[in-house]
Amino acid sequence: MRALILRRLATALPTLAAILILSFLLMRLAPGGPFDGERPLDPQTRAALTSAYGLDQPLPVQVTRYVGRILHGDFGPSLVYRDFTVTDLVAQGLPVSLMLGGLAMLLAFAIGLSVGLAAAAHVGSRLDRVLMLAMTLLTALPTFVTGPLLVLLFALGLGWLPVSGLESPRHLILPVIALALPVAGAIAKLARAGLADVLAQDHIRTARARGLSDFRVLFVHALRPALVPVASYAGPAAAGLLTGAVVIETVFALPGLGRYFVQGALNRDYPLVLAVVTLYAALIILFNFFADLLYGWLDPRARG
Amino acid sequence: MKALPAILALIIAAALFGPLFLPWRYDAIDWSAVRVPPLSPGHVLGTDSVGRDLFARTLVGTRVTLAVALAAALVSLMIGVGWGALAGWAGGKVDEAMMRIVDALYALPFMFVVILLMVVFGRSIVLVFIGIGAVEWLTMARVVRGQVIVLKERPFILAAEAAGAPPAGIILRHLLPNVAGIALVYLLLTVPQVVMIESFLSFLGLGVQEPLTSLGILVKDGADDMDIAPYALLLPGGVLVLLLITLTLLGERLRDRMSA
Repeated sequence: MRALILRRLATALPTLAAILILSFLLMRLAPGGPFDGERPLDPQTRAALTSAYGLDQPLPVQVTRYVGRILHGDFGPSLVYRDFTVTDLVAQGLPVSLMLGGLAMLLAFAIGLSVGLAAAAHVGSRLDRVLMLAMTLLTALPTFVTGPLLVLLFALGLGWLPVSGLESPRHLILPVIALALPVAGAIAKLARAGLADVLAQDHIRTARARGLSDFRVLFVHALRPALVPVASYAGPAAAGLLTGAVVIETVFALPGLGRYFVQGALNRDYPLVLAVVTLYAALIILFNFFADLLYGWLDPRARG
Repeated sequence: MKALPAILALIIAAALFGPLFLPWRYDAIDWSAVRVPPLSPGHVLGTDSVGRDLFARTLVGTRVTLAVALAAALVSLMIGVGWGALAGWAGGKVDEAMMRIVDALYALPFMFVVILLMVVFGRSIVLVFIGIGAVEWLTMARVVRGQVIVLKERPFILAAEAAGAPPAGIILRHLLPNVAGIALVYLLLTVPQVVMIESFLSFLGLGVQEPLTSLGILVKDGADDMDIAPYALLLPGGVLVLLLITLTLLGERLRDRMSA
């Protein structure tokens, strides 16, 4: 297990460094700068601004400075939100996004695993087919359609839940559901496929032949190996939730990281976009790391 | 389920030829009919908040979305087949290194890479599909590589090699035609993903730009206006969902048939 952890860390850290440097260089390649407003600035002001933000230094110097500052938790000043540092903005947005994503992840696993179990317990039945078709539909529905539709139905139509904003926990119900649905669909399909595979194997037949109850066979003998494909999906699921959260935060006007990201991208706010991309990459690498550990725990053969 | 190809053909035909038969252009403003509901005189499906015909807009939006999706899928096809065929044919260390790169890219959040590209190089429709194509080729590369590795050991390839055919000739003449079938199936599976990414970007204002329209932009406009005019959301949203579901189910069916 320790070998696995070390090996994964050895690939994760260089990946993160590569992402940092590449995204920084890409940003600097951009035509047009942050000070290109509707009216041209007079050259003196422009020069003063450029040197104040260190943009007149050679590229390698800029990269090294940038990475050094990030290691100290300083992402620099935002170029558009003039009175805020990027770290401030991220510190405001991250908790909202983490709560949204975490709750959606829990809900997705709860729905996905129960539907997957129900379908796998009746492989080939009508229930199985209906559930799997429903799950395919869920994965095909984009969050930017389901989000507004949920608002239309439950907020504007029935008036049960608030439309947008984040004043109470109730405001999180619709966003979490909209975010969780496609991931739940994917998890259900994987769980069903994994379980159906395992249930057809010899040791399950033996367990049944020895008179163990269906419940015991399913939960004690079949579930753990069947979860291996689901565990390997945890990384992509986290990536999916992060991307989905960008849309969901926009639709529901939640003050999370995703909204700052979209605003930053529309405004060419380099430091903000870079900080969010870096954070997202770090989160996804972290999730892949945990997924690998989970994988190793579920399937001893993967530990070597 | 048998209706799937028919539904897809209908959507494509409507998007291609439909606008020709409509009295309104997708960007024409009818000042006398701003935000009228469906079944109004002159506007079968109503107009949006500035008086543009929703039927025409949805048809043209579908056309743009489909065009971007096809172009992006073709870009991903070229990169994916090239990369996969090269890796599979080269084998050994080269293969391992190339596939390691694919694995590493799989772990990255694509959407953010595309958005980064949009921010850096400006938001143009050409960049939308090149950007999407450039990040959506990974599965294609894996599938093609697997196929090439199997084919490489088949007698007819060995015979061609023994006869002294140059590697480029073998790849072009003998390998690629034999991976074409599976590559086309995965091309079909790529299309809905690309439709999803394009609409996602356009929804956020980072993809296709006004005055051009796409399903993503229409869904965004509809969502902004849904408390007054829910049909402006339901119409493009419905077409988008129908398109995604049809393409996904069709692709999965073909894939299952190939592997069975």
